Amino acid sequence: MTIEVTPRAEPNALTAARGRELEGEHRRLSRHLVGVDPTPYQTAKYVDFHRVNPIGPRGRFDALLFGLSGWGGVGLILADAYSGTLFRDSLVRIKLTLCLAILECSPPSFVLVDRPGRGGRFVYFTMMARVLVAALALTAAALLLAPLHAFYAVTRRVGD
Amino acid sequence: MQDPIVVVGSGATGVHFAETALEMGRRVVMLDVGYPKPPMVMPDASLNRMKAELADPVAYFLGERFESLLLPGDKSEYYGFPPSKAYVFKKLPGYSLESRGFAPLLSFAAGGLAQAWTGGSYPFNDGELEAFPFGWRELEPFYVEVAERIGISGDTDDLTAFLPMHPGVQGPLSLSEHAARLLSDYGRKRATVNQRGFYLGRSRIATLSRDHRGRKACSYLGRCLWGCPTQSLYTPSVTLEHCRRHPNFEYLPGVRVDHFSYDDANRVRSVSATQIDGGRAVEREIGTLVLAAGALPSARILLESLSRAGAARELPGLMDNRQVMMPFVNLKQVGRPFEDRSYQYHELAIGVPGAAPIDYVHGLVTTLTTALVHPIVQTLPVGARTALALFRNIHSALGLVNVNFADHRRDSNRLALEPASNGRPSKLLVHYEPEPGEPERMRVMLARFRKFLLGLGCVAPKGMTRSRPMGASVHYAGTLPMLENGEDFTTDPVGRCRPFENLIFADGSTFPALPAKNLTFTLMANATRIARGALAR
Repeated sequence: MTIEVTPRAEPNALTAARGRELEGEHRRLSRHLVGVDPTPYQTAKYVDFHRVNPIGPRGRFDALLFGLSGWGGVGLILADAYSGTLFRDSLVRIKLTLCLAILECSPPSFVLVDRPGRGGRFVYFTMMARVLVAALALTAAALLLAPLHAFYAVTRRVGD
Repeated sequence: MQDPIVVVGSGATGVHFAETALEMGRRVVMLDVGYPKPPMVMPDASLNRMKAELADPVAYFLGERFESLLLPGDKSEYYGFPPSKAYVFKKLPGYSLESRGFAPLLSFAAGGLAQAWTGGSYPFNDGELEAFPFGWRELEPFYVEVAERIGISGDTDDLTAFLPMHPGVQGPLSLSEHAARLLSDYGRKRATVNQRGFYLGRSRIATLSRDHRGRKACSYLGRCLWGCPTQSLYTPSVTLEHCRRHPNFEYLPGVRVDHFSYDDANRVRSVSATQIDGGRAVEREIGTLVLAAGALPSARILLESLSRAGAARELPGLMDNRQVMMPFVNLKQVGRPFEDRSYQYHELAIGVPGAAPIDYVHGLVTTLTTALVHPIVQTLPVGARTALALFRNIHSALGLVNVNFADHRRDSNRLALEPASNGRPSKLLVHYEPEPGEPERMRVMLARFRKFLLGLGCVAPKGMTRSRPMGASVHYAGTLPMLENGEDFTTDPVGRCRPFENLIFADGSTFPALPAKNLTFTLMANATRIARGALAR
């Protein structure tokens, strides 16, 4: 079965550079969430969202956190951990949610979203291990980012 | 009551009133805004097959402009209405409403709000009907009549003490693994749980477990939330289509009824409406006017009519059910694969009797396994990747209890009309205040619910329980209560609005009390009863 890629010409047309930027961003987020690259259709929808819903950082800390996520790898892990617990309306969290929504609605990734994690009889242990790793990531992220977050909040340059 | 009978609104009450009138040999004209339902997509496909095979699945599930995407910061609901049901809540241009303490939802769709209902069909018992001018014995035949029309499935079990069983109920649907486990665990702990005042059983739902009247039984496609493609889950559009095939029925969609005109003898003479496209005025002579547009729109038509006649007034007594969403995790289901091919709406219900029958609290247990996961994943207080990994293991363990509370008529809760002026249209004003002491009563009851769930091995985190805004249940009622004897702007036992000679209200406006159960089945039965009673005179 062929999936049509249907990018639309919208009044808020994005530049080619911006489109490539979003494609790279989407690839990083998709790999981070489910470990696979998105399909061209999924990336087209991700870019489409930004045409019809222009979003950006709300403040300097939000921009900093999003910039950290752009490093991929450890940067994205730390940004995700921090935003999940301590900065829940952040731009990086919004984009991760958008990415997840597209992944869960379309093939082949919806199967990955639906499938229970490995663990079987030891599911509680694997979940606990996940939580411990997440706690470590959050601790590292908080040590690194919380002072900056507080600084921007105090100087009223944080957008949340 | 003379013909033509002009019915305003094509929702649950309008269509059943109309169907009954047609069966009685009467001539019916239905005026309706009637936004149409979009064509059904891939009617034989399961939800996951749709995801796999649609050309643009993201547009289908999230909307062309991602309008069904719930992003961080939107704390209102755990799930949004899908794009396929957007027509149910499409706004009517120029329809102005202002509310305080209330967040009303209106529908101008063909079939009305129940085009997006979850099918709960719970009859009111004698105790719950105490404030009504009739009891179970008088209403039962109409429950039976409606059950025959729409098809209801359910079972005789521990909830039968609160949900009287009546003829016309098909056997129950197949349960999902999760729901079956909950029921089984309850069965083992029944004595203890009942001692705490909780009862669990099968939902009564307007979904077919067997083929019925040309509609097919549920085939567990998992698409309930997105719109049943096979009409196994009844919606009023089924009855509307049935009426439209009748030679004595005239359906006029695309029309907004504004007000009616009446003479000095309080006889309604005509109804004035506006065509949605083009704005042309439409005037219809009437024999009998039946307002069945829902408590708020029907009240608006009445208030507008009175205002134009120099008799402006308010309508006190507005009611709605308070609803609380209580997500939970069934620890015994963690790590299990979820079933995409299962019935998605409430398979089980919870009954909690109170000191008086009207104090009964009603819970609907839904698993919503095919609802979109991103709204739920983002509620977990961890990073998105961790949240998704955890969620994949708890997906089939998730459940949601929708806890419903009764409401009572209070004069402080009322509707009024701000007349048109300076080129601005008139505006319906809604004022609602919760009952004093409600927060504490709810807190106590919700703590009991959490304890009940814990007894079944289910954890309901307190921080994830959310009270829906008042008005969210869309069970509006009480502004023109049915009374044996009452003053002007109450209704008699067959819905005739005093002091008018030929004006009938067939919708929730007429309810003098609002028990906790979903009221749509009772609305349909009452509309049928009103038609048989009022038109026979």
